[in-house]
Amino acid sequence: MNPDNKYLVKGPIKIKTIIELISKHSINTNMGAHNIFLGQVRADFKSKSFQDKQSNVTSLIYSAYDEMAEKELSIINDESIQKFRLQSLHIFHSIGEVKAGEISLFVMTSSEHRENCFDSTKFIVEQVKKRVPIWKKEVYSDGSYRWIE
Amino acid sequence: MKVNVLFFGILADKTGMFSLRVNNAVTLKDLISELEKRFPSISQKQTKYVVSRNQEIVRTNVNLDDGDEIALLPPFSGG
Repeated sequence: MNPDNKYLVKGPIKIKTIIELISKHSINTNMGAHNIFLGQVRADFKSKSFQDKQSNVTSLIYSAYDEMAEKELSIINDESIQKFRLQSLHIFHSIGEVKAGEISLFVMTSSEHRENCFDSTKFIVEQVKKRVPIWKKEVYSDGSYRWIE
Repeated sequence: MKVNVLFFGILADKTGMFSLRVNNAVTLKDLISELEKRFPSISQKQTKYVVSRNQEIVRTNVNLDDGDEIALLPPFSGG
């Protein structure tokens, strides 16, 4: 992975990173609200048609068209700051394996007022899912996998 | 023209590769046609994808330039 990536993170997003960000913003006393979205890998129990047997999803593996994904995330970042008058915005998306229970998407919006935070968070999550060239496959407890569309 | 073709997601599995150098590409339409002949399992009747040229999605036929990076992108599933 490119070490200069700003938005794509190798592996799960660490809780320590999230705590450090929240802590960092405590000096910005012009902010009145922060909103945080955490996308967590869910251990779905799924049927696999070729075996007609149910298996747990144990992890997701994310891959990306890195440069294009970083560009698009940057555009979403700048658009959202302007549209919702955010004072700060952090978006991180995992690449590689993220186990069930771990975090693969992090969005933190900060603004003077809570409405901007609530509205922008939903908008950003939906834009990331729609516009960023990232793909995921589910890995099952028997080691097999399936691409998600 | 010499172009680099990238395959992502399920297309990388279906072709067995992440990238392919193509030396005689003229138009995007011809390139895609050649790729689908070489890898029948990625035909757009079977697998949905969009095409990008130098990281911009392209939906019309264009003449290719030397050094173009063409990517075949299945539906995104991030987030």
